[in-house]
Amino acid sequence: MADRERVAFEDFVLARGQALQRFGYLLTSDWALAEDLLQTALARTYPRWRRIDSDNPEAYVRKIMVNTWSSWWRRRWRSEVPTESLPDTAAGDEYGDVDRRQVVQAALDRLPRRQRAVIVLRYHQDLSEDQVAQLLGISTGTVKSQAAKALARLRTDGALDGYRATLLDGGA
Amino acid sequence: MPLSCDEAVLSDLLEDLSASQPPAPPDRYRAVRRRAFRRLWHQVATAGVALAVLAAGLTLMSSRPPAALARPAAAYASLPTTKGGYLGVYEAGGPRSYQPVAEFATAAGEQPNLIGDFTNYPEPFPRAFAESAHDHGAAPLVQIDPAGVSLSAIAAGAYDAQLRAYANSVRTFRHPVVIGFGHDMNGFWYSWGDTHVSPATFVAAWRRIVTVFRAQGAVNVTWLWTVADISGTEPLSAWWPGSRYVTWVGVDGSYDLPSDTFSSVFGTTIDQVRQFTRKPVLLSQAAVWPQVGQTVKILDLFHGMATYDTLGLVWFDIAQHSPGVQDPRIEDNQAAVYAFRLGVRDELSLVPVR
Repeated sequence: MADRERVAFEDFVLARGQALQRFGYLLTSDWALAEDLLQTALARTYPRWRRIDSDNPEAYVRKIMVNTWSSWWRRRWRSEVPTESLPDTAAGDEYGDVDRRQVVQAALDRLPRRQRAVIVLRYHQDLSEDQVAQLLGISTGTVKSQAAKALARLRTDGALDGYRATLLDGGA
Repeated sequence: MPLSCDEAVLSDLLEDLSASQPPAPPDRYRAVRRRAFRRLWHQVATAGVALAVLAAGLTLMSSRPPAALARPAAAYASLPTTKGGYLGVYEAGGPRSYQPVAEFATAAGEQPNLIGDFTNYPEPFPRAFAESAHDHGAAPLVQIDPAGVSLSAIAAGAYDAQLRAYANSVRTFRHPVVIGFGHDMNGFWYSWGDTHVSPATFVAAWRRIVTVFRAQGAVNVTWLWTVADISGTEPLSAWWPGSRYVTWVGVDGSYDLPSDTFSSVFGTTIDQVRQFTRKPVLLSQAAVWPQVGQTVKILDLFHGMATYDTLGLVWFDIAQHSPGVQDPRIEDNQAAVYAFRLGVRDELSLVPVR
């Protein structure tokens, strides 16, 4: 690989690495796994760097991250027995920042894998429904229905309500 | 499709969650890191992947928590989010002369740390104005008004060249800059606002601008998403570009009626904003018209500003040359000056912005 491309790759990692790692965290709920995920995706991206659409390498890396995460999930699903369900957070608690994050994270963890991917790609990565469909290899209609189901579930879980209550109580 | 309120909330929540610090215990973390390293090394050895991945990867791994990554050639200056930390002012001819700002500062008893300017689009970054503000210990607040400009053209990238030039100018300025685009878009009275432009188009244009700026390394911008204190035909959340595209929320408002209170002018709008985002709120354009009783309303304004935990206020100190008495300038009313000074002294604690 030419020096120029190597530099471009390094710049890309420096500029976007942190954002991509955060994306990985939303998928995995674990910083170490997020880093692992990103490293794997970068290692797979590097040899193909020259052929990747130079306008949007991030889309490529993101896609590998989602696919890799899916495969991890499948692997684990077969080999591991899920532990007991996450502790339920009592309604009416006064959520601090940390508590709120736990509630949101627990709610995310309870979503089925595909719904979680749709939610994170659509509402954190700001992809359009069509882009999410393309990335996950499913129809736009499925993206819409999965997003609607996930949103309904997050509402039921109270993740969104707790957040609002915090805001209205004056938590800046 | 603009996001619904719940969707906007979710977007903000995800951003908040992803910005949290990793609480992983160190031992376990080291084990995973070692595993990742071995995997990486395996790839390097087998696939002939060059050292760049390793170097880049090591940079990433060593930058734990993930907040420490540097972007190349970027300007980093950012503004603190201190409640009651800001006093700003809009003056007629702000970019051309500092004199009106100096007079306002004398009246207010403090040097403002934000100085506002309204500019048209596409105009270059008002660099001389920014330098002048900086020389006086203030950050420039530039409201870019895309009058008569197609927002879908901006969103589609037709203005990218101008935006890049603007962003480069901002980046090389190197100090904090507050930039708003299409202020009061939820009102009907501007060509870029409600009933003229769809929220989705506005959001797309906003995101395009922020994205181009970031790509140029102009990360010294505080993005001020500025709404008016009214209820338009669309919910406020429809105009929300998403928490990663906005640094502060600005609310513009004025006391127009004798019955106006902070709650009726700014409060209801702030409550709506806080339904979908936790971003800090700045009273980005505050005015009290003389005919509603400036003295009492100014005290009410400062009190409300503090009660609602906002960043502070930007006073609209420009006489309006329309029929009727429309001169909110405090310098022309000694009682207003006293009230203002009291408010500044009791409710604000200005932060340095350099």
